[in-house]
This record gives sequence, structure tokens and C-alpha cells, in this order.
Amino acid sequence: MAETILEVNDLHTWFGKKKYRFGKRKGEFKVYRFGKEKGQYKGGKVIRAVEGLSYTLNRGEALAIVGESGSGKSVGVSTVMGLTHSGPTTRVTGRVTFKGQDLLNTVSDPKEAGLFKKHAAIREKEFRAIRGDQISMIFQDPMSSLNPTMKIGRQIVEPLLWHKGKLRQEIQDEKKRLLNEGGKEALKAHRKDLRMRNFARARGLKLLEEVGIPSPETRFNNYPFEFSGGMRQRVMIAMALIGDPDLLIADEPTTALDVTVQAQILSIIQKMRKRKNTSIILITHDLAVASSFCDRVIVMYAGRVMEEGSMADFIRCPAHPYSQGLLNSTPILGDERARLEAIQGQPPDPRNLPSGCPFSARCTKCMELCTREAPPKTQLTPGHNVYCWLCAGEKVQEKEADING
Amino acid sequence: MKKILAIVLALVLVLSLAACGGSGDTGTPGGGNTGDTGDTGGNTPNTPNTPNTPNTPSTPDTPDTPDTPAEPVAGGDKTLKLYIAGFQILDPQIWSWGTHACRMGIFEGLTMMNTDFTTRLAQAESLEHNDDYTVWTAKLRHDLKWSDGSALDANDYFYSFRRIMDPQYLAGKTPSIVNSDVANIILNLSALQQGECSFEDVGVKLIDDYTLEFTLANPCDRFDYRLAESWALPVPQTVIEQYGDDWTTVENIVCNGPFKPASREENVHLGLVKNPEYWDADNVKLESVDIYAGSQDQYLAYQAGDINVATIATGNLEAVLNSEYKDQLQYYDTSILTYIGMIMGKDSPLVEHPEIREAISLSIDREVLCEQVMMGMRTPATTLLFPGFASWAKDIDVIDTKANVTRARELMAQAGFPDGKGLGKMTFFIGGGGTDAFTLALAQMITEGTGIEIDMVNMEYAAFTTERDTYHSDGTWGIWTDSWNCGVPFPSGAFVNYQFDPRERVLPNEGLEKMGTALTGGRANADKLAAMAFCTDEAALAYGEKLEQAYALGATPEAEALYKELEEMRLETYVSIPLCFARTAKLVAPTIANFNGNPTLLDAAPFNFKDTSNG
Amino acid sequence: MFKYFLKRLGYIVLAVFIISALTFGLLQLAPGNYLDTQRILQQSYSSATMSDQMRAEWEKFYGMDKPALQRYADFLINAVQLKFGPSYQYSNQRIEDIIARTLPISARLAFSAILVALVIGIPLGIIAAIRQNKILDRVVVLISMIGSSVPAYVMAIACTYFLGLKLKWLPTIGWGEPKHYIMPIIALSLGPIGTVTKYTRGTLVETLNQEYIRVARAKGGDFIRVTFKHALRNSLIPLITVVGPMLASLTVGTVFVENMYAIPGLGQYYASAAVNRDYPLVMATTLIFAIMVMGMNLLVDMVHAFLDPRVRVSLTTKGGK
Repeated sequence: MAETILEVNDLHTWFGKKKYRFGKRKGEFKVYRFGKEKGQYKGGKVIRAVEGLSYTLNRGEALAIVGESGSGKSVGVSTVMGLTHSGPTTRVTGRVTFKGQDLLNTVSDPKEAGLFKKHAAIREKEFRAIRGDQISMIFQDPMSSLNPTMKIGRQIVEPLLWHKGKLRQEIQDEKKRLLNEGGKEALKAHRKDLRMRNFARARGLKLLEEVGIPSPETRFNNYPFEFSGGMRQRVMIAMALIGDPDLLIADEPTTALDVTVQAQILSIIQKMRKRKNTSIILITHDLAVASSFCDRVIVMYAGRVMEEGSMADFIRCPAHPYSQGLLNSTPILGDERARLEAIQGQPPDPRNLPSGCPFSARCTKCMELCTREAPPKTQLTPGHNVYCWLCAGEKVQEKEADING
Repeated sequence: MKKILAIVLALVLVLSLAACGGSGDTGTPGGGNTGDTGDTGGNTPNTPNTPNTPNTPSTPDTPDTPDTPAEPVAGGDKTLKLYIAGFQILDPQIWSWGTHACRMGIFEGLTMMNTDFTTRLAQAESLEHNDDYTVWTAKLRHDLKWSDGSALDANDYFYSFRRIMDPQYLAGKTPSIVNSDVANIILNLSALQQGECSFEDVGVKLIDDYTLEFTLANPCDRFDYRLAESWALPVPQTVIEQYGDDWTTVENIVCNGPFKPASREENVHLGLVKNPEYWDADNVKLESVDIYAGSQDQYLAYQAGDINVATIATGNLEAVLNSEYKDQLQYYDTSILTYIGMIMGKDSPLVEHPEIREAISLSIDREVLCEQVMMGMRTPATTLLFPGFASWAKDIDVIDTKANVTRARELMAQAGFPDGKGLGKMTFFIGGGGTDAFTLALAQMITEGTGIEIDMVNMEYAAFTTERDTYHSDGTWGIWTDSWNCGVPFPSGAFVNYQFDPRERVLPNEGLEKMGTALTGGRANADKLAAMAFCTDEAALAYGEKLEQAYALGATPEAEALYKELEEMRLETYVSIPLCFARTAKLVAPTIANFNGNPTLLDAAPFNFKDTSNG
Repeated sequence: MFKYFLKRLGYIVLAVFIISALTFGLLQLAPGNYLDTQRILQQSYSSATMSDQMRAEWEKFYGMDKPALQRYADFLINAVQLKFGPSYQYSNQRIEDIIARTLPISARLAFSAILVALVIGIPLGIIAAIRQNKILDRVVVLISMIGSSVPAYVMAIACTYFLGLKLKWLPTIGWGEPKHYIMPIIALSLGPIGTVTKYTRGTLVETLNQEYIRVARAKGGDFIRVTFKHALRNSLIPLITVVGPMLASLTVGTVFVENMYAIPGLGQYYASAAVNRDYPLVMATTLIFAIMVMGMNLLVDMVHAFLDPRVRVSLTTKGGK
């Protein structure tokens, strides 16, 4: 049964500059004007990091979000984590639902964005219960992602200890189990183990073993600088998975590692995923990694989705010129091509996005229409969508007719 | 926008700082070490802060004699709270500022000082002398007690005299007897100090349990005053033998004065309470005395009520005059003299040409210096001896308070250096106080009056003390300024130990060299005399002869006439040139009666806590 | 770790030895000597001087008649036993008694000032870092700048004037009771407050930008846990390297404040001893201060190693991992 874990609908994330005002209202957001003049923003100071991102994730599924640096892939998921939300310098609109719960609680009218803070405050506590426990994240650089002066064992068990409700529940379950199996004596014998810290520690050790760190007992009390890069990433994985999350977000987990280690890490993630049926969002710029792992893929460029679909469909038949370019520039062992074909040009400045399709400047097959209007969603096959005028078919003629009169 | 805000903020800060800084001088609490009397032990007072209104004499009615204080008002809490220079050691026989505190109320001697330098009987019932003032006999009262209840009699006094006079007892310490001239008065005392005889030979004899007899080397008609000084205070034998150096702690100390120490924080606070065993306790009106030491701002403390007598530094004077406390000010002329001395330099033109010395003295306008540069906190000095100590001092007419530049120039030409040409630069040593308005004005006056170029050399005080008395063979010659205070309020006090003796400085090179060694670290007294023997200057030699005559006469009215001549003679040599006497201002709470703050003796005014009352 | 500690101790001993030799030598070279100063002083007071016999006794008593090298040797031998002899100025007290009485006072002042600085400065720095670039941050930074710029003695005068005279909350003079400590500590702690605040804010801001803070938040950490457990610990470690030398220099540098408030602390005695060429007191105090400064540095290094495992490793192994 495909149960929908995460649903993201039309997510927009903008970063602006704060405007100081002494007096009653503080921190008015410059994009405020958006509400009044729909879509005709003139100023250049807002970074439109994510524009209209939508996807659905089912339990056990692995989704790959692929794109260049600055394409908004990390920002997109940080909203899901709750690390980015509306505030004085940030505007997040759209809808994000996790296991049926609204994570953003946004309103469509930006005037009420000011109210959002109050709402967010209430929800922050609830969000914290989710964050780390049901949704967890692995970050890119394991060297700086671990607190260098704290033993890794302690860092690993922190998600457990910080979600005491769930921990207590688990301990209760454990107690019941012991009672059933061994009666009161077993309970007494394991009384020490049932204390929170020890319970968590035992769990941590188990996880260290599972991610493949040798002699976990000793390593538990080591500091991060006593580990190699690959080991550290394993520790990160252990830290992320200790709470049995429903959703694991991996933000470029292998970018900082060398290839052999890369494979190991991926296999660990795969293993854990199979064991607990965890859903995974894998963010990467490496299509090879994505293809080996994920069921579905989203290609992002300049904050917009360019193409989305199942991995099989995508590899076999990429529709968007950008996707084609990406595939062509991915080095694959055994490939007989003499040269990699890189895509010419640079990603656009997120503050000054051109109108129309953001890829138009670099697209080899660009049409005049592409520079004027953003392409609509075209469904090629069920589940495989592309946002390109080239594939838009009759809609192109419609548009041209509109324009020409 | 942010940048503009930052700039505005910075401007505001800078402006406000500038505004605060400008009006600083009135009410700069600068601590009491300026102009008024050596509150911080160690620095001889020189000159106060630069005044900010140089041309207006600001203290309009400053009388020359100490104020008779106004009638006290009612009220008062029976305590006296004041600052004195210090109380490092409370042993009256070891030199420190603490000896004054001892004399003022903790211990009591045979006689006691009055504010006009007469004395009255204290622990002695009677004090008699023979006709030529060479033998004095003191009879003690029979009801004297130490503060621990034990009886006090002449044996204690005898023990105390032996302890302070015989060098072996206080070896390594400086006995306070050096501050008196009594070593030259009591028979064989200086010999004992030189180690040439024993205590039995000294003119201090214990006749019986209540009688002491003093034999003097020379007649002295004011020996009663000497007996009131701090060296003559008795110390408790049993306590000293029991506790040794620690006998002066608050727990151990035993005294015989109207007050005894009750609490003490070293260098901060000394609390005295009434001593019930004191023989005259009924006449002691104060209940307690709080003595403070330190260089804090006394005006501030006075306003806060933490002290009821305050010495006002020159920097605060204007503020006080404009405040409600104006009527509580009392002025005192002190005997602290600022004078010019000579550097001992090889082939010094000042030695060879007395005209130059006279010219220097004539070029200084003492009135301007005192009233305008020092804002009235100095009085011009025409003698080296404080006028208050000798009635004839005012009659001496050698030095004038105003300058005479014409005559100075004449003298310079006479000496062969018209307008200072051909002389080269004169060095001017300054120590301790630093280059301030006073020394600058002085240097300017000298240069304008005589034409001599001056090279000011400013030194740290301890270095100055060595430099001013060292023989300089590298061609350095010139003058220095320093302060001096007479420890004994009689004319003889200003001539003791060859003070201001021109034979000390007007010497040929050889003599100067010997004198330099003698003064700095050698066997001072003997070598000094040997060095003075080199002197060839007639005026100086004449002075020396007369001095010996005066010494032979001792301290008698006949000697007085000789001292007058001596003062004239030494002023005429212009070897030590008097400049001015210091003046202090004190604030005294209106409820206090009989306070005499005349700090003639460096804040150990000749007054006693016993006489003062506060309500 | 222990070996490292011993090694450092050894260095301290060596350094103290060298310092004592240097100080002794420099004092001999300095112009002016005690007896001359006293001679002039006494002449200023009266006309008298010590008789030659008295002077000879004095010199013998203090061993001035022996050659310099021997005096130095005697001094060292006595110093090791902590016997410094009597001081010139306070001839009825032994120097070790003076130090035993005054050092605790100065040290107490310095420690209290640092404590106040930490108690006030660290929270201020935290507030400023958390509300970075907002108004509160700007205000705190301004306060800390004023604190580090205003000299201690200016603050001392201002304190006495306002708190002592105008408001009459505190006495203007005196010493001994706890209430007398308040104003000196305020004056002394102002500079350190400024430094501590600025430093805490800086390191905390830097730490908060680190990746592992983001990770901690991603693990579900709330504000307190993230700030105090993760960020603060790492940002306070560099603070220790600042506090240690500050503490040492403060103990020595209390002279101004001690003078203003007439506090009988070691700094005051030291200053007057230097002016009056009271050699024994100067030697003893210099050594004491040198030991304190070096001891403080050692303590700081030890604490630093204790808190930061990376430092621990680099100290004990050659180059660490």
C-alpha cells in the first residue's frame, strides 16, 4: 500500500532584506508588495530560491532531487525540516504536509504573513517533536557537521534524548516485553538498562554496529577528529537513523567523500532503508549516484522544476534539454565517448531571474517564446512531467496565437 | 541608512566626550599630594596642578596668620575624622608618619605642645631648670597608668630614653630622634650616637621612681619643648620585651595617652577610642578619633560627611569657594619652604661668581609666583627661616619679594657675562613634582632677568635625591629646587647640622668632590666637615666661624642675636635662595572647636586630640 | 598530561630564577637608593640626619656591606624558604607578613572583578550574539566598547562621586567591610566586562554559524539545548585563553584603583616600594607577581586542555592525530 508520507505543493521560498523601522512594526519585508502587484515585482533584492516546487513521496520511496549548485534543492528540503520558515527576511508559501500534518501553516494572502510568526511559535514545539525523530537529515560535510569537542556517542544519542516522549514509550514497550518473557526477575535484572541514558546508549551502540563501525564500545567515546571522513559520515547516518525516522533527507551525503567510500555509504543507507522501510529524499548533483539508488527523480534549475518522473523513464527518455545535458555530462564507466559534453554557461543570478524559462539563456534549443513566458507542465506519461515549451505541443500554438492576436 | 546612523552616533560620542573634558579642572579630585603637606609619605611636596585661570588671583581674603576659628555651633558627634600623612609604624621611637599620630593622642610625654609652640605640663608634675638652663629636672605625677592598668613611673621613661638614644637597640631602624635637634643639646648624646661612649655618660639620669634629671651640653631655654616631641614619648617595657616587633598591633599595644588604638587597617584607617586609664580622662572631650591615610579626594569625603576635617588641594579650591562650605575654610601658613640650591659641578660659574647667584635671586618675582602662578597658595619667602618661628625674621632685608631686573642685569655684566652671553646653558634639576607651572615660571623669570639659557632636567624623585648631591665632573652646573621644613620651631632649628651652610656648596672642585661622596652614601657627618674644610670663600668662612659661636651658646636668647646675623650672612651669599612658603586650606566642620590645623610640622600640627572637641 | 604539567612547572621555576636575577641586577643599576631618599626626606622634615654610627648599623643590618653577588645568593637562599626579611620602609614588619596580608586583598579584588566580568559579560555576549545585528546587539556592543575604553580610575572617581556623594549608598572612604569592596570592584571590572562581552559575542556568532549547530537544530534541538550545550561550550573555550592573562594582569594592575580607594593591597605597596627604593619589598613582590602570572597561564592552559579534546591531544602526543 503506497501511503503518502510527504506532500509538497507549490512551495515558494524567497529571501529578502530586512527593513528596519523603529516604532510599531518591525522588519517589514520588502516583497510585501507582491501581494498587491501580482507577479510584477520590479526590485532586484529578493532571492527567489524555490519557485513552485511540488512533489509527493510515498513510504519506502526514494526520491532524488538533482540540480546544479544554487538550484534550490537544499533550500527546498530545509523547509521540510523546518529550518527555513517565514520570518522577517524569509517568505515561504505553499503547502507542505507530512503524514497528514501541515508543516507550514501558510496563508495565501501575504498580508497575513505577519501573523504567521505567532502561529509558527505554537507550532515550533510540535515541529521539534517531529524534527529529528520522524524526519531526519544527513548533511554534506561530515567534518564540520559534528561538534568537535563532544564525544560522538553523545551526539548520536541526542536525538533520542531530545525526544523524551518517544523514548519513554519505547522503554515502556521494552519493559512490557521483558515482563512477558522473563517476569519480574528479568525486569529487575535489566533495571539499569532501562534507564533513559543507558537505554539510549545501548541503542547508539547498536546503530554504530549497524553502520559498520568496528569496536563500537571504544568508538562510542571517541571524538570526531579521531575518525576518517567515511567513518564520520557513517556516524552521521547513525545519528540520523537512531530514532527510526519515517523520512530521511540526505543532502549530498557523498559529495565530500571519495568514490569507494561513496559506495559504502550508499549501501548503508540502502540497507537501513530496506530494513525499516524509510522514505528517502536524496539530494545530489551526481546523476550516477541518484540513478543507482532512487525510484523517482526531480530535476531543478534556478529554483524551478524542469522535469520529474520515475528514474527508469528519466534515464531512458529525458525530455528536457537540461536533463539531456546532465545525462550527457555524467561520466559513466565503460562509456566510449571521448569527451564529456558540458552545458555551456552559468546558472543565473537568483536575484535577477529572467522572465520566461530560467534555462533559456543556456538552452541550445531555445525559442523566442521561451524567453517570454514560463513553460507549463506537460505530462508525457503518467508520473513523468516536463516543463518545456518544446514538449508542450499544441499549447505552443495556442500561446502564439494569443500573442499574435 | 545604517552608515549615516553610525556616523551620527560617532559624532555625538566625540562631542560629548569633548564637552566633559573641557571643564575638568574645577573639582578635579587630584588627591592631596599637591601644595599641601606631603600626605603621601615619600614625596616632598612641590607644586600643585596647573591652574586654569592664571591671571586672576582667586583667593581674595587670605590672612597671613592662622584664622581664629569661628565659634563652634551646637551639635557634633564627639568624633574627629581626618586624614594625616600616614601611620605606618605606631612605635613613637621609630621614624614614620605614625610618630605624629602617637604624639597627638596615643602617647603622652613629660610636657605637651600648645598651638603657639609654648608647652604645658603633661605627665610631669613639675619641670625645673637651673639658672643657666643646663640642668633640667622633671618630677612625674603619681597617678600615671598605662592603658592596661599597670603603673607608669620614671623607670619607664628611663627605659624609653635608653632605647631611642643608644643605637644598638633600634639597629636597622631609623629612630625618630633624628627629627629633633636634641642630639646636639643633651650632653654626650651625639657621641653616643657615633658610638664613642656609652649610655651612662649621657646627660639623662634616673634620680628616683618619679624624678628624672637632664644635663645639657649647651644651655637651652626651651628644653621643655624638646621634651614634648615624639622622641621623648615613653614606651611600655614589658610589652616590648614580650612581643618584640609586634608590640604595636591593636591587640598588643599599650599606651599612656588620652586615646588608644581600637582598630587598624594598615595604610587605610586607624581608629582611636578614649583611654579610661588616662590620668586626665575627665577632660578629654572627644569619644573617638578616626584617622585615615591615603591620597583620596578629601573634599568629596568631607561633603559626604565621612570626615569632618579636610585638606583642600589647590585644584578643588575654586570649587569650595563657590560652594556652601566657603565659610568653613581655614587657611594656614606653613613653614614648608621651597628654595633653590646649587648643583655641585666642576668649575661651576656659580661658585666663582657670586654676582650670578645674586642676579638669579633678583630676577625672580616672588609675588607674582605666589599670587598668580600658585593662585595664592604660597607666600613669598624672604628668609630661609620661617617668620613664625622667629620674631626678628621680618626685619631681615636681604631679599625682596619683587624682582629687580635692572640690578640683575647689572650684576651679570659685572660678572663678565652681560645678558648671559658666554655662560652656556645652565642645568635645572627638577625632581618628583615634574615640570609644571611653578618651575616653568621660575625658569622663565630667571632667563628673562639674567639672560641665562636654562636646560630643565626632570627626574624621578629617588634619582633626584642622588643627583642633586652628587659631584658632576662632566661640566653640568646650575640649580635645583626642593622643599624643606623646619622640624624645630625655633631659630636654632634652622641651623642644625649645617643646614643651608654655604660651605657645603661654595667649594673648589676638590672640595665638591669630597662633599659629593660625603653626602651620598658615605659617612655623612664626619666627611662633610672634612669636605667643608676645603672652603676658601671668605663670606662662607665667616659664616662658619659665627656658626660655631652660636652652637657654643646653645639655645639661649644670646644665641638668638647671633642667629639673626647668621641668617643675614647666609642669605647674602645666595647659595640657598628662598622662594616661598606653602599655605594650606582646610575645611573644618562648624561643630568642631579648638582645632588647629597648622601643618607647620608636616601635618603633625602642634595640636593634640585632647584639646579638640566636637559637640 | 601529567608529564606536561610537570614540564611546565619546571619552566616556571627556571623563569622565576631568571627573573629574580634580572630584577636584582636592574635594581642595583637604578639610580637612587633608600638611604638617600630618606636623608632628603628627613632633611625636608628637619635638619637632622642619621649619625654615622646609626647608618653603619643600618647597613650592617640589611647586609649592604656585602658584595652584590653574595647578597643575591643570600637573598635566593632565604627566598626559597619564603623568608624575605624586613622591608626598609616598614622596618617592624617582615616582608612575608606584608605579602601574606596584602596579597589576598589584591587577589580577592582581581578575582571578584573577573567573576563579575564573567557573570555579566557572558550573558550579555550571548544576548548580543543571538540577537545579532538587532538593536539589542548594538546596545550591548556599545556598552562593551565604553567599558573597555573608560579607564579604571576615571570610573573609580565617577563611582565615588555618584554612589558615594550624591546617592550616599556607599562610604567614600574606609576599608574592611564588604561594602567597601563594591566600588573598587565596579571600577576594576568595567574593562574586563567589555572584553568578555565582545569576545563571547564574537566567538558565539562564529560558532553559531558552524554547520554542526544546524545539525543540532535538525536533530530537534530547542534553543536552550542548541545554544548552551553545543554552541556555548565551544565558544567559551577560546574565552578562557583570554580570561587567564586578564586575571594575572588585573592582580598586578590594581595599583590605580588601590590608590584611589586607599586599599591596602599589594599593588600599592609595590608602587611605593619602587618609588622609595625599598629593595627587599620590590624584589619579593616582583617574584610573587611573576609566579602568579605564570601560574595563571599554566592553570589556563590546563583548563583549556581539559575542556577541548583537540588541545589535549596536541599537547600530549607529538602533533596529535
